[in-house]
Amino acid sequence: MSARRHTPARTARRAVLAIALGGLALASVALRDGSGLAQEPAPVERVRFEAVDVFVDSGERPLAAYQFRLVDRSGRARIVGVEGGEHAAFRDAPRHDPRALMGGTIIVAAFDTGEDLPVGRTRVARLHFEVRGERADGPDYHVELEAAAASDETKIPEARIEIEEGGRR
Amino acid sequence: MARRATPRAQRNANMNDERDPTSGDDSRSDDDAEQLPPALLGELRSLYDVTPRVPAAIDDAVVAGARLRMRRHARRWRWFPVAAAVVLVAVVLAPALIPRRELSGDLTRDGRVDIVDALALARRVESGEPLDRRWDVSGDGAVDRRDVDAIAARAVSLEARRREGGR
Amino acid sequence: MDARTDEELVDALNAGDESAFEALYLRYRDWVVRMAYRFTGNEDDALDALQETFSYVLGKFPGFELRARMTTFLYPAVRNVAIRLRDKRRRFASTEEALAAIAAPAVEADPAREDLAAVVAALPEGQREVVLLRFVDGLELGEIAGALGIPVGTVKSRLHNALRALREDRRARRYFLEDA
Repeated sequence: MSARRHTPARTARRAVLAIALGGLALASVALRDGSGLAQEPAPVERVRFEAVDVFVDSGERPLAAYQFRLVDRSGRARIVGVEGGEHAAFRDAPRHDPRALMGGTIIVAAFDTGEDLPVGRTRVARLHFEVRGERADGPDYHVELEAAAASDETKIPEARIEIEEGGRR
Repeated sequence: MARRATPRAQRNANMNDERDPTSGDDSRSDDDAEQLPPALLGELRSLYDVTPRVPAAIDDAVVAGARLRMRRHARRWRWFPVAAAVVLVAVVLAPALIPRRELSGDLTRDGRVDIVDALALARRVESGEPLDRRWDVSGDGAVDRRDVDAIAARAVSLEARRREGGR
Repeated sequence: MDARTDEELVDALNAGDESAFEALYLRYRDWVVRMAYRFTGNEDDALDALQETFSYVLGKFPGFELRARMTTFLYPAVRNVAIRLRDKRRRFASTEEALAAIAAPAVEADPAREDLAAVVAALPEGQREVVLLRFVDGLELGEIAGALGIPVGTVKSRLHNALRALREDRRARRYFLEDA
């Protein structure tokens, strides 16, 4: 009888096969008597979705461009969608980094070169979040207006930004 | 090598040492909570209170080595105030002496690329006015809507922000 | 002998006074070599540890701030250096084995002393160290805590447990009986 060589690859294949067979055996037992693994569901974390409206108030000057950065500092909210605003100039989905989706930080920006621009307070974007955990432990959103400009490309230093979460301010 | 008892060990031998924990010295009430019988204390000290004799050559070597190191250190730092002053002057004057590198896409020249730069370029592209080749941010040889998009993409890029060490 | 306090010598050394180092060295040389010998169990290693420890001390200057007793600062330094040298000599010896050297002093043929050495050697490392610092070196509880980087309460409990172990060991019990 020749001696069989136990190479690392053969040992690994055997280990994988053994794990697979063990898994199959466990699954068949669980299915047959309805006990075991199937009766102990893992605790499910609550998930809900909410929208955050972002408003920019440009005062008396027409708003031609804006850029803001929004962060959820709680780590519970993940950005799942970005929508445009209420005024025709900013109705299209604003610019954002696609890699920000499913994360908690995003930079959003838009501009319009037309003549019809919003003046005063206007909703410029709506962000959609997936929020995990209890409602009482809500996200902790922080928003910062990085740029707001009029059509002549001059900045509007008096512009203000604010957010409304899920219809609440 | 000869061993010798330390002076303190000698003092402790007669158990009248004021630092002796068994002497009941009130000034160390907390320390005196645990005491050892005098015989045990004496044995422990005779076993463990052993000080190897340090040859004079080692004393000389340690002290001479320390002197050498201290002198070297002093020499090394002698010019430190002058060097520090030079560096300080350089740091203060550098921003004024070194021309600021133009940031690609910063049309508004405010030191950052944001959506207002995209707006500025979009307006120029739409107006049909002659366009500066420096605004060819996409690097395709033309200044057009693609450069506007490139500037806008950079303005909202999280990666670009991280690279800039920004917020 | 230099009459300056440790704090004054440290200040002088920070200012570059060479004589201050010599004074500190002479003041603590015997203490350091005694500690080193306790850990190494070897005089050559103890002398090496002495030199390395003071080299380490010098490296702290200028800019050194003496926040506790000098021995509190020196103890961890000499302990680490001595154990490293001991380990180097016994290349495969662990720190535990090296520390066991504390409890294995050279004992001449004296059964009683051999017994006591064995009892002390049987104490857990932490207890043994505290017992020796307290009763052999005469350090106060706070100083021991500072030297070992542990709370005073831990020093007390180690000491208490060590003494209880000594009382309960038949080889050391006679000391307590004689005392009573």
